[in-house]
This record gives sequence, C-alpha cells and structure tokens, in this order.
Amino acid sequence: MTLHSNRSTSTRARVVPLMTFSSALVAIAIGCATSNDDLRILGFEPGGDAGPPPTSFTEPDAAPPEADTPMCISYECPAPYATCLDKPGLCNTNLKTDVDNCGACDKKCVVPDEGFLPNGKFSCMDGECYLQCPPFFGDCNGQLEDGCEALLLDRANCGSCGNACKEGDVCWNGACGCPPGFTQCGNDCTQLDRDPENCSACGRECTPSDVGADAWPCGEGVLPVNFGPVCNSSSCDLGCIRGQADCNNDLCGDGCETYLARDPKNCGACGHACLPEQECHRGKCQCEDPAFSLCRGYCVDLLKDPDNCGSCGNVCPGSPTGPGVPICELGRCSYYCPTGRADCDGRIDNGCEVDLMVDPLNCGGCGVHCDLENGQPCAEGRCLTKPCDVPDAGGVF
Amino acid sequence: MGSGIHARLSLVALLVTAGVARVVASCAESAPPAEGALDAGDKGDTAESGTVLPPPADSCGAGTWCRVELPFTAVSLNGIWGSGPEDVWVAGNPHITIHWDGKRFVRTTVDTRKALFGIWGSGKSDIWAFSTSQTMWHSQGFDGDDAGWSRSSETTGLNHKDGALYRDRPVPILAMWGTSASDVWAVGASMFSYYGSEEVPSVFHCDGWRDGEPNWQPSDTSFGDTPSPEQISFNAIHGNASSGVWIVGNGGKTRYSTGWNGDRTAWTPVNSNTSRNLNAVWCSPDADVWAAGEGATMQRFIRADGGEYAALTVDVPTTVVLRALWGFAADDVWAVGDAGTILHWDGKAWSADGSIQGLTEDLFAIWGSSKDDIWIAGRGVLLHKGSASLPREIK
Repeated sequence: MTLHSNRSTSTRARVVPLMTFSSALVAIAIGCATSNDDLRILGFEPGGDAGPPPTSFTEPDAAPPEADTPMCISYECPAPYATCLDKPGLCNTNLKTDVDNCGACDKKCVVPDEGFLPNGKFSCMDGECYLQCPPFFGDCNGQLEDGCEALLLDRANCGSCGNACKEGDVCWNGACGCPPGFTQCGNDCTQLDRDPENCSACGRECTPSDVGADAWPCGEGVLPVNFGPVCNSSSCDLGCIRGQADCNNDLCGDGCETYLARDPKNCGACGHACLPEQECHRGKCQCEDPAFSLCRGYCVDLLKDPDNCGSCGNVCPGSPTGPGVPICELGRCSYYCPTGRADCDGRIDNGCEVDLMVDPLNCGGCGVHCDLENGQPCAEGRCLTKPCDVPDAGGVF
Repeated sequence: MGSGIHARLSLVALLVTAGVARVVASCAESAPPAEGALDAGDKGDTAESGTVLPPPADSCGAGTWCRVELPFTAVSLNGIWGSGPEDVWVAGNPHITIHWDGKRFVRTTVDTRKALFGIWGSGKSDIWAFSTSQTMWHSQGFDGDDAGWSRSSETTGLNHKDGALYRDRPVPILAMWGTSASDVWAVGASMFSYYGSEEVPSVFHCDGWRDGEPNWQPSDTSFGDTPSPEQISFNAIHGNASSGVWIVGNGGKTRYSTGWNGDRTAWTPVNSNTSRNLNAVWCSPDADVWAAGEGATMQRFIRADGGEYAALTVDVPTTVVLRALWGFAADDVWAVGDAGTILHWDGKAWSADGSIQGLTEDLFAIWGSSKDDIWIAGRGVLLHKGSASLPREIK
C-alpha cells in the first residue's frame, strides 16, 4: 500500500503488494460452480418490485446477454471489489476507496493511537491512502500513523515543514520575521510608531509623566475614562486608549465613551455608521459584500453555510465527518450524500448509512434486494449475475 | 437541486412514485371544466367535435392540484398561512413573501439576508414572518399593494432571567402558533449562549406585537421542581381547544400544555414512541394529535380514558422525510414531505396523492382554509387545490 499526504512536504511512500481477492472469496467462488447452478434469474432486473433499476451506474464492459439467456448468481467479485472480513457479505469492499481496506483487505489508512484519532483527514483514493492536514498543521515527520502532528507556527516548522527561522527571528503568524512596518520586540512583532508599550523603541513604555502640562485637556493629573498615555508617531502623548474615541465631544464628562472597533454607529471613526444588518467588526462595517452576513467574526452566506444556515449559529444537524455532510440549501438545512451512498432509513444522525455499491439489501437503490437467501453479492450497485453454465450436449447423463 | 447532491432524494422519489398511479397529467392539460367556477374569460371553448377544451394556459383549472409557476427557481418557500381563502401568505428564502387576495398574487421582498423560516398570523390584521427570536417582521394586514412589514427592533425582547439579553445568540424560530393576537407562541432550535455553555430557551411566549417587537418570555419545558430550558430543538407547534398546545422536536421529543400561565406554565412530556426527529404536529378536532418527521415517521396520539396520551405508529406509503401536517377533520388530514410527497388520511389509512406529474421537489409547508382550498409550498414550488381559479403564474 502506498500512503500519501497531499502536502508535498510530507509525502512518504511505503509500497505493499496489492491483494486482489481474499482466500475466503476463492473458496466461495468454487462453491458457486458446484452447488448453485440451479439458481437462475431470467431477465435480470435489479430493482425487482421495489423500483426501477438504477440508471446511473457503470455498465459492464461485456455486451449484455440476450434477454432470454438464463442468468445465475455470480460470486466472483469484479475488481476493485473484494470480500473483506470487517463486515458481512461478499464483495463488500471497494479496495480503491475504503479507508479501512485501502488497496487490500485490512490495510487501514488511519489507526487510532490508544483510542485517539490522529490529526488530519485520511482518505483512500485509487487504493492509496492520502492525508489532508488542517490549516497550520503538517505531517512533518512523514509518519502517517500520527497524522498531522506538527504545528506550523514554531521556529522549526514556520508555515511549512522544515522551514526553520534563522537565529533570532521570531515565527509570527506562520512566517519568519516581522512583516514590513513591524519591529520584533522579544517574541512579538509590533509597530513602534503607535505601541504605547514600545513607543519608538522596544521596551519604551509611555506614562502620564512623559507629557507636559499643556497635554492635559481636563486639568493636569485628570484622566477621563478611557483616556491615558498613547504613542503617536513614535512620541508619547495623552489620548483615547485601546480603540476608544470621544465621539460625543464630552471628553471631560464621559471620557472616550465609544469603542470604535464594535460600535455600528461609529465604526472605525466617529459618525461612520454601518448599514442595516452590517455589524462593526474590528473597526470595519462587515460584511462589505451585501450577500454575506457576519457570524462570530466571519462573513458567511446564510443561504449556504451549514454552520450558519438561515441565521447565525443555526448548525445543520448530522455528522460532518461523512460519508455525507450537512448542507444548507437556500437557508434550509439538508444533507448531502455522495454518489453511491444513500440515507435509506431517513435518519439524519447516521447520515448516508448505506453503501449502495455493495449492500445486498440496498443494491443500487434503497430497498433493492439481491437474492439474500442464496447470498447473492452486490457490487458496483448491481446484484452479481453471470450466464448460467450450459450443460455440454455431449456430456454423460 | 443538483442530481449529485440529491441522489438519495431522487432515488427515493423513484421508489415512491413507481407504485403510484398517475391519475392526472397536469393542471392545465387535464383539469376538467368546473361549471360556474370560472370567470367568463376562463371558460373552456367548445371544439367542433363537441368536447370541451381545457381553460386557457394562463389560468389554473379548478378541483385539481395546480402548480403555480414562480418567477424564480432558486427559492425555498418555507411557510404558508392564511386567514381565509382571500388572504393567504407565503414566506421563504431568499427574503420573499407572497400574498394572495383571491384574485392576484403580490410579491414582497423583505430587506434581510436572514432566512424566513415561516409565517403565521392570528387573523387578517396580525401576521408574523419569523427568522430568529430577535429578528421578526410584522404586518397589520395586506392593504392591496403592500404587506407593510415592520421589523423588530432587536434591542429588547427576549430577556434573560438575570436581566441580560440573549442578543449574542438569537434562536432561529422554526414555527409559531397562537390562539389570538395576544397569545402567541414560538419554538426553535436548541442553542448555547455565545459566551458560555448556558442553554438558551427554545420555547417562547409573548402577549403580541407591542411597541415594535414581541416581548418574548421563555417557557421552560422540563418537568420537575425546578423547570429549566431543555436541550431540545422544537420544530413545530399547534393546538386547539380540545388538545391544548403541542410541541414536537428532535429526538421525538413531545410536550403539551394547557396553555400559557406565566411562570407557572406546565408542560407534560409524552412518549412519542420514536426517537426520530419530528418536524410537524397537527391537533385534530376530535382531540387526536398527529406528528410526522424523518424517515416517514407518522405518530398518532390518542387520549385514553384516564387522560394519558398513547402514541401509535401509523403506516405511510413512503420512506421520505415528512415536513408538515394540516387537516380539516378527523378523517381529512394531509402530510407533505421530501421528493414531492403528498399524503392523505381518510380516517382509515394514509395514501399517497401522486396526481401531480413530475412533482419531485421537497415540500415544506401546507395550509388550507377548507378542503376546497389547500396550499402547499416547497423548494421552488407552490401548489393549490380547490375550486377557485388561479393564475398559473406569479408575474
């Protein structure tokens, strides 16, 4: 089996021979030829009484037999299907896509470590394991078993695996060193022209004693609410602190009464009002795009976001880890089943619980049964059949 | 609706519709002429052969399910309610309401990006379109051209018991019902407050639209010595004089009350015999109560002599999610659901109404003023059944 991470920095390959069919299946296939020749299905109809046959699944390569050709149950799993022992039935696994049997039976993409799942999203594609890491995490040691184990915000792996910052540089927001306009003070980046704790130089903190008598608007030594030392153009002064402002021009009365970062009537500046349904977030009216709404600090489309469906915080029910995910359609919650999966029991808590490709109880469609009494397998959404063996005319009777 | 996205729905729809006989091809093509029901301009012409032709294509025929063409396809019509056959309201996303006055449809755009989860009124001059517990719209009636929607101020309303507001986490309101303009209920999703793990109520009552907004009071549904909010999303509410007020929700949770009584309002839990999510409830005039939900769940609550309700699971000829219930008598109840499912209860059994050809849309709401005036709304679809003649299209 080959294991892949989709991050180029963390790809590692381990090649294991691909198994085709399990020994159990071989034994069953032999049994088919000797004991089930009398199981005939004329004019095979996978839907039976329960509904029409599925129309969207892959047609077999071989030309279909004539309509009156006697058909018997087949127990030979077509590739890439195989009989794996972690679930019941025959031909129950697609070795190309099953994360527990990826490339071969029992070859698991993800193995819990003492009950804890490794960080990251594992998938099986074309019989090989892939790992997708969440933002700011990486698989830096190349060990798929522990998933995306590295936080990409430290100096050894700053932003990407192996990107080590040079001596003395800080790893700030996933990049080595400070961006233009910022200066490194200790392990932080700051703007020396406006930081009252690092005004013009690291560690130079502004205090009221730094200013002259004419800088006190309400009398020397009088500090109104939210008024105090600030750093203006790298010089210490007195002013409204921590994003506050005096929007009602009553500094010596209620001080700097307005918080510009969150006040929708004074957003970012006194008198700058937001539009209806906009909110003031970090001094900006959000969301600027009229099609989006601000929910918990993020601009989202209430008609599409399953975590904010129709209104902020309205989380659509159902497992988000699949198969299948909750979706939001025009502001209403729904559930998405990928091709080949279905929600046959109508319960949202178990999502798309049926694999239509291999489930003999729901083969190609909910309620479409294969011949359960005789163990007819379902593969690729079809109850498996083959032309019945025709007795040799010259045989001995 | 993408075919890939809704593979499960389309597959189920195939299964459902396969066993249903198609009686009527469509409104326009096969509706029989209803004598006296149409205006002169709507009457069918007599062909040379003597057969009566169907009414003009711009008018719905009478007596059959009729699909009203919408001026847009990407719309989810989530709620429908009326005070009578000449005052019907529809609400949906994105931000739309439609009014029918018996002669014409008028479309109104509501200025919001939030979802309109539904619409309800106590009468012709008291209509509510609801989104969240702090974002609602109220109309004092349709004046012929405009709904006159008034938006709640969102500054007060739902008060925390300690005086703080739940403004940081307004609850999505999923259903409303009441007995009058001053006895109004709302139920919604279960949520936690933004800045903590405190449960936000999901059942509310108010004494009407006052001073530009509803003054919601939470109603704790738990039972015992110290009622408190329960972690339950309630999806539907209905009531009548014989059954009281019923609420149903996720996990099959079902409660009923004799009505609002301030802090002393008591809710009685009922075993619904299902753990599936219940999306709809309807109280029959004979005191039976119906509830429907996911996986074609259909429960009938019958009151025994001792006053206890017992829930019976009733078979329905479908497996899809059921979304809404409405009825007119104990033997005349309707249910609608996903994949164009319409069911009818005749007092003995539920049967599928498959008379609308090609109906595969998910259906979310049903209401009617009488058995001769029934409306159904859903994703991109509006249906009517009755003797009244409607325009086939909303311009």
